[in-house]
Amino acid sequence: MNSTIHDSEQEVVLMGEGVTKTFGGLLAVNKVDIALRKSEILGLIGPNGAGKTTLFNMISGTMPMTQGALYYHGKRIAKPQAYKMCSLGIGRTYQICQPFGNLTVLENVMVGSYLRHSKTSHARDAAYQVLKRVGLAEQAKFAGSALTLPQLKRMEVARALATQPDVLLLDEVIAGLNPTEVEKIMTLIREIRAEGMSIIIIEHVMRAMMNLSDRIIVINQGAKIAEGLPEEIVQNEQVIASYLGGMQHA
Amino acid sequence: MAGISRSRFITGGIILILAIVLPAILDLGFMMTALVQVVLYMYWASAWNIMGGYAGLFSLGNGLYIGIGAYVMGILYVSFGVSPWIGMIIGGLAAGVLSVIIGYPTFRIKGLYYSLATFALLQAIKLIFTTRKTIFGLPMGGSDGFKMIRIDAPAQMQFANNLWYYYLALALLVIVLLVSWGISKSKIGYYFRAINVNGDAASSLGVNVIKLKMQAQFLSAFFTAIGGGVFTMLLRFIDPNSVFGVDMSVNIMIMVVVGGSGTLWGPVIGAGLLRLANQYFVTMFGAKLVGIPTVFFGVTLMVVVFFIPGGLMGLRQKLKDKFGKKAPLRKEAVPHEQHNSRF
Repeated sequence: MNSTIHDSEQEVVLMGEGVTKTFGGLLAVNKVDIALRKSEILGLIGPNGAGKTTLFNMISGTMPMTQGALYYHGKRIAKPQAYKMCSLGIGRTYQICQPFGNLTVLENVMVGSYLRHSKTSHARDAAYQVLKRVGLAEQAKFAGSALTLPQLKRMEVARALATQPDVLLLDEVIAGLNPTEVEKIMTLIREIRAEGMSIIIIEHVMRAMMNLSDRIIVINQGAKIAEGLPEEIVQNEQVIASYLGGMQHA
Repeated sequence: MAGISRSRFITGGIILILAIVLPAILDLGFMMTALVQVVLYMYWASAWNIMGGYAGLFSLGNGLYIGIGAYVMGILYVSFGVSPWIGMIIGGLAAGVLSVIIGYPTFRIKGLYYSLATFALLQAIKLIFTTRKTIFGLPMGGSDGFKMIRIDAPAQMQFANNLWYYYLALALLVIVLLVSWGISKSKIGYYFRAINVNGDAASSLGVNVIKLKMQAQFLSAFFTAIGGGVFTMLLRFIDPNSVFGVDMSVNIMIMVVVGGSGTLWGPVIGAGLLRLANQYFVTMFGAKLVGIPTVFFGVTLMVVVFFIPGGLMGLRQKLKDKFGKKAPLRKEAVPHEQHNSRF
């Protein structure tokens, strides 16, 4: 567990400095600093509404930052936009699955694989390989909207993987799955990391987070309140008071 | 052709041969003009389908491009003596460029608001052409419009027999169908269908949504405007009501929805059926019941939206899934939720 190293010497792949988002008068994310190292699994936890997904949206370019800066492999990204971030190598999934219901499962994944394969036959082959990997090959010809929730979550991961990212942002891909499914998807995430991919994961299933994450960042009310190894985080009084304690009582 | 089954290729070939031969051997008389318009509507519906059906840009103002194509070609011909064959292409390009200029601000508006913006723009441009006798110093004729100089020379796209306009419209229809088929099987086609459902998710997969929307709108506007040029030469007359008509734009959209938006043949079938029905009502009732075709279009749209949201092609696929051989679920089997929600 928390296996592979990840000391501070590892190359920082993705870094956010003072990332801030306001919606009118609401401060959703407040000057959060975040650094993801190579082949690291960085957990992002916090209560509902803490700003985790908003932070994801800014890192992935889906939503503009109000303030702050993003660096990818040390280079500042001037104007993060979703399609540019993906082209750079930052893939993401959505908390609420977003299938293209007018396409089959295979075609859904092809939309991702086209990024690196212009020819349809190559994109199709690459997409099918990813589907095999996430265990959805048998559903390849189903309509995207005809999948069950666990299958939809796998398809979300498959689509992001099909873009061949360097950094993968996983937004609650474990929540709602049964224990067998959880085990399968955790194995998949570990395999992906073992290949050199860096991962940030948002999740409320603490057992999975503790098992998967090399480091954890805790966000509450838009601000980072703690950062450290999982065993440090579970001991952190502020984290217990604002999040983990609440979970235990829930 | 790669990607088309042998039986479909043969069926398509037979339909095309019949479409070429039958009007030549049947004496259609004055009905030929109506037939040209049926084919032109099939063509416009297929052109609308590129942006509305595939890419989800639900424009209610494609009449704008018909008008731009018609006026650019018309004014180049009448004022500068440019052959309508060339003017038609220039009109198409002008409409394409205009669509990109319009697209830049309007693509940031989503769903219904985009549709309303295109509708408002059509009205605004129509108003300009109706009230201005000259635009940029060129004589536009205001609400009276202007006539094409009649010389019956094929080099000036003028034919004594309307059969040739029919063939011209048919050729355009074949071209736009081939382009649509190519799009649907290619990367750009998958991207169009992805942004149709969810632009944000597509963007997160590396799709440049704004660029794709501009490409869809450019293609659609280009083809639509070319049809506007042919339409004008068929009528040998141009005025704001005949080419910037709101009815025209809305009817094109209805034809696609009825036939099945986002499918290759849906727009052709929808336009064919509704345009023929329109012709039937006009012939049967004439001036006695002037609004009957409009009522028919509206009722048909409501029936389709409520009961067969995938249009006739969607219905066909559902029946095939239910009674035919077990086949994998295809895109046509999935209702176009996005489209339904817009009404």
